[in-house]
Amino acid sequence: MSRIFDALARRRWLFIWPLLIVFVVPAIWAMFAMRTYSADTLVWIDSDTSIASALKMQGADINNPQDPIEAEADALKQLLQSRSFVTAVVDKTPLRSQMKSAKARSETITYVQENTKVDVVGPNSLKITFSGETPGQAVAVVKAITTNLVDWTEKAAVRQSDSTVRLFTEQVASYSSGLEKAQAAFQDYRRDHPETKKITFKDGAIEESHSSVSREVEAEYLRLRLALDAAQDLYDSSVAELGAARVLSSLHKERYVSGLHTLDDPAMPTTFDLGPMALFDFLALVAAAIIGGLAIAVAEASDKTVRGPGDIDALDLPVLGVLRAPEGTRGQA
Amino acid sequence: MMVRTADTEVVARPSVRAMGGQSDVAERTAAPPAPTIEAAENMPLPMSMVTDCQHITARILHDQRQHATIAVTSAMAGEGASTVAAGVALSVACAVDGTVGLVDADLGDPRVHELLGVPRSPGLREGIDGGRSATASEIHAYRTALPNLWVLPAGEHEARSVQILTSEAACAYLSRVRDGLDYLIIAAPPMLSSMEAEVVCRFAGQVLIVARTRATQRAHVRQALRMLDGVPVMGAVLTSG
Repeated sequence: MSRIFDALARRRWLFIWPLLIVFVVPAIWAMFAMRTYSADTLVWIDSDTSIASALKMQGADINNPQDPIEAEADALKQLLQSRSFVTAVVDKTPLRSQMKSAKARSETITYVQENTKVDVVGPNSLKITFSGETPGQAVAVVKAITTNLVDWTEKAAVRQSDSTVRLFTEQVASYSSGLEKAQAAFQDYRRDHPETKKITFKDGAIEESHSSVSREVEAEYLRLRLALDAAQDLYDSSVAELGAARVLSSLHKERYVSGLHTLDDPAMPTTFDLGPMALFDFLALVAAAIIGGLAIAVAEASDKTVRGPGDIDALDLPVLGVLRAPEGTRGQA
Repeated sequence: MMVRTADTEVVARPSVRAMGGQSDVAERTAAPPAPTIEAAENMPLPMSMVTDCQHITARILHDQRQHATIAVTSAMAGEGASTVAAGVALSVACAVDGTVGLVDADLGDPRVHELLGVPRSPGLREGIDGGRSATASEIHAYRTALPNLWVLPAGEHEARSVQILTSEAACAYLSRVRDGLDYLIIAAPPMLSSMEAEVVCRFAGQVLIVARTRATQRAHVRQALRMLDGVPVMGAVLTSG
């Protein structure tokens, strides 16, 4: 063990140099090349507004955590990481100028994806952070994210509401067609059988008939009349439902749009981060230890000099003494 | 002997100059003070090196006979052999009563004179040249703060160090130096970068090899030991820092 410590002490520069090269050079590089500026914004989501549910309707695979706000965060993360969303964000930022080729476009999108972070900071609050190369870039991207998020949420709500209204509209159209057919069949039958004009009809039954009307004609008249009434009822109810759906749709849109708030605009960052410097420090130490240790081991193994009395003993020569050369006489014969 | 000690007669009169440049053959006939390690405090060689070398010296002196000659060398240059040689010589001089000599035989890159604060020349090279060309036998040894320690520096730079140190004249000169001393420490050149190192070590008869931790290649030490085949290697001293 003492030999190891002795070798380490003597060849300390073999350890110090790798440490300097592996640690200081990356540190300087990190100081100038890896500085990042972070801008963030707080987004408030009303408790009765669920982006997650909207995303689920769009087919997103969202986990079902216990905490609803986590579901919102999960949904937002998925949204913010989607290429279509990020592309829309980049289009509103100066980063757009970098997307001159397909490769550059892909790299820019990946860069934004990797540097965007969504954190849950309260019961209904999410913090969206972007770390960019310049303060302006960071602010621009965060603003674009929030703007796109509001737009996207509104559009998602509109799509969801419109699909409901469309369903009822199609139903009304279908019932309207049925009603028209029933009316036409009933009027045609009465035109073909003028005697039926003397029949009075009330509450789904023939109240008064005349002898000139045969029982068969009377039965058919009754069937057509009831079908017409049923078609009319269906139409009337579907129109009422359509009206209600339209009202609810409007309310739904309003709730979504007003349920997502940007609490504060991103501020221009004045300080910068240096990334995971502690990790770099640790890795530098490990790398330097490995490189330095190997260098020392190689140097010791290749050392053919007399290292101590043991080497002299190996030559069958007694060692009479070990002298430390005094200052001023070193290197002298 | 060529270098006389304090309490012996002058047999052949060498010109021995004390540190500071004074010729004091006559003065040295008096008994010198007992050598203490504190006397080395004013030398450029740090005291810590001297004290660190004391336990090495103790091991060297253990079972050593008088008139021991030890070469201190290394595999390659810059590993501290000269410093260790100086430290060992100082600590030996402090530990024994006899005379101790330190010879810097690393003519290509001498350091001993800087470590002990003596002039670089005249020294070994000039002594060998003088012995070769004439009958005169001057030994330019310098006295140090330790009265029983004499230093023979390398002398002026000499590109022909191989020819000088591998010559018979060098061997004869070093033998004469050794004759006057109880202990002779030779700072030898590096084994693998000089051909004369092996000759110097074989002359000494005993070798101390220095290696610098985390600098000296083990293979170089092995190769140096192979070159010293047949020469007793007392052991190794490791330097660090």
